[in-house]
Amino acid sequence: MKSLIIGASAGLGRALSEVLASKGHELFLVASDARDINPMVSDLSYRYKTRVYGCDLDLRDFSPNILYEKVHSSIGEIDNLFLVAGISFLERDFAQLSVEEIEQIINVNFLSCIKIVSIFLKDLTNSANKNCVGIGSVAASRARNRNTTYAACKKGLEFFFSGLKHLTANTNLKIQFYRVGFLDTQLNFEQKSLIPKASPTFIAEKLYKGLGKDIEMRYLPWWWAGIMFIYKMIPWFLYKRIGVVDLRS
Amino acid sequence: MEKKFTSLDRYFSCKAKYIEPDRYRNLLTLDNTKKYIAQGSGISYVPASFGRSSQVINLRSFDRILYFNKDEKNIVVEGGITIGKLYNFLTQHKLCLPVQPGHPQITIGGCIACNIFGKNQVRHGLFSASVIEIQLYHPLHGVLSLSGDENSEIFELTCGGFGLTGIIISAKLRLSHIEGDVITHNIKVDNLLDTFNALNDLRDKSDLLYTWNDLSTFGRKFGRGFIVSGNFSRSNPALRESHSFKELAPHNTKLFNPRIFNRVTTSLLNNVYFIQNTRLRPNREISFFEFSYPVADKILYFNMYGKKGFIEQQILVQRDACEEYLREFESLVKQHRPLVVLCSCKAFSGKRKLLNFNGDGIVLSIDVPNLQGYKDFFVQLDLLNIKFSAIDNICKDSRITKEVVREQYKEGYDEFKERLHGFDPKRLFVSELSERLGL
Repeated sequence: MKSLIIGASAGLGRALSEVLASKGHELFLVASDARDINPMVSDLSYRYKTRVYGCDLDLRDFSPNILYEKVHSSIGEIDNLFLVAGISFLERDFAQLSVEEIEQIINVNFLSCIKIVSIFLKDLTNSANKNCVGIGSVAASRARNRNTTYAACKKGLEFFFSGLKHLTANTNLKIQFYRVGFLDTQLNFEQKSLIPKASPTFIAEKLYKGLGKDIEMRYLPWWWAGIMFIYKMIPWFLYKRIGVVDLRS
Repeated sequence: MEKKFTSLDRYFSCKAKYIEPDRYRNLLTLDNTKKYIAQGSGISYVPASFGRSSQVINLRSFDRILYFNKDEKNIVVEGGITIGKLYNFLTQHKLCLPVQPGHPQITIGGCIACNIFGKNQVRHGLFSASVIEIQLYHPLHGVLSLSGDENSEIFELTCGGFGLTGIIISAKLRLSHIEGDVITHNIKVDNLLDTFNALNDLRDKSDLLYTWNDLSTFGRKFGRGFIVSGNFSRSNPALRESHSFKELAPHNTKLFNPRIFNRVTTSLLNNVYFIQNTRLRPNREISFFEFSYPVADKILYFNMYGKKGFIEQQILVQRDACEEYLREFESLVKQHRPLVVLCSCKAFSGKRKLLNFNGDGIVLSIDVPNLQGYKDFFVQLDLLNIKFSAIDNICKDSRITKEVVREQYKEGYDEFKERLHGFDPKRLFVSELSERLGL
């Protein structure tokens, strides 16, 4: 199997690279910084004796054609596409974000994914046993006043994946989309939560097990389904009082 | 984020700011006005990887193999890689690090920073002997290449520099062939003097050489024990590729953790251990993993000291002073009667430089519960060490003071401090250990 991972240098992407390499996948890893991706390539190649390639790519502004050529000239046609990359400014949103930061969030979390799926769609639909995996967020379950721009992008991505599923319904491509909860990664390092943070390796194993299945949307870890069910049930008159933000500040 | 840290001996605890970068852009952009200290697995006996006034930078994400050449027997790894991860990779190629610490959870950065010694110090020297090159990051200097030829002074300062010169990003290491499992023979000894003499006789003949002595029983049996002398079974390299082990977690202190070691239990356990190793199984074959990491399955041992932990003293006694030192050491122990739970000796050879724990002689290690009543014993022991020019391993003793280290290491201390301040006038890398030692 040949897998392309977008956002492979840290957190879930890194754990997924490790899991797939250990299962013998040939990998093409993409991340924003060559200093992070090159050690990943060498480490996985040496330890798992599999072909691993990588390149640094700024998802805020890139050419999908160049990425396509790089992937093709190294591992050839891919079997699995994993869209793991994400960016968020947890403590800031709306007016607290600059225009550049808003663009950054939209480009990395949403636009880049659509561009990449579109360019690799031909590869993914021309033979059997292929997968396209999207990573969403529990933040997209119900809109709230924090992390909204990020959550909107993830909701948009989820919608795009639903469309993709419809588009490829008569092909052998399997689509999987996950709403992932808090992970024990650098992104959530300072975040305190009553709900336990899941290990990226645990989630990566689940993503691997999901290959070959059609999954329109699934929560990872599973308990988020229950939490979000209750969260969505909270009536508006109560919900509007949760985490009230003073717009004057 | 603030986190509570505890040294492995549980002698010292404090809260410190903590970050866990997972990308180089976060690691290599540290502000040069703040204080830091790098941390690998954070399982040093002493508080060398944290401090009240420093931000702890955990390097567990920087644990990758960057380059490997089987034919030339060398490897380049990131500083946060654990010895265990490296072991699992290298054994597939029948290679190993010549000098290995006692637990596989320890990182390469930690081995370099403490310049550890392995199972056969006489044959392999200190860890720095296997280090070809280091990439070091310091906010004032950027990333520096250190080796015997390039920035050699900083290289020397970094090997055994307690992490005070900066963050060890990566290191190129020399490897050696694994020769197989180890066949050990336990030789019974009656006292510490016999032990020292036997160690001196066997030091060049064994691949593995250490002793176990019982100092918990006074009278005729005081100091009795056995010497473990081992050699590789060159005909039988039955290597298993990966091993699991229990992780040490000194920072996660349990609510209920009573001290199990007391005079009765220690004496009983030592008697059982002595009989088991001298009568029931004096000869046995141990795996290379067990040989390399004797502490890997002994997590319970550390917990048995209770919440207050223990004090370890590792004393390097000069070869020509051994006999006289032992006489005074024994009378000191008999006079103060501390509960010595563990006593072990090793042969040593080398030349001391800066604050490295090195020299020609015998290393005597003792583990004693951290009890208020033993304070005077340790003060007297410090004086004894100074009298005989013996040195205490700084990386093992959380209690040792600046004054004692200065007296023991003499010009080594002054030179280390002078060179460190010359390299880093702002002294950005600070730990509890460096503050205690006035570095």
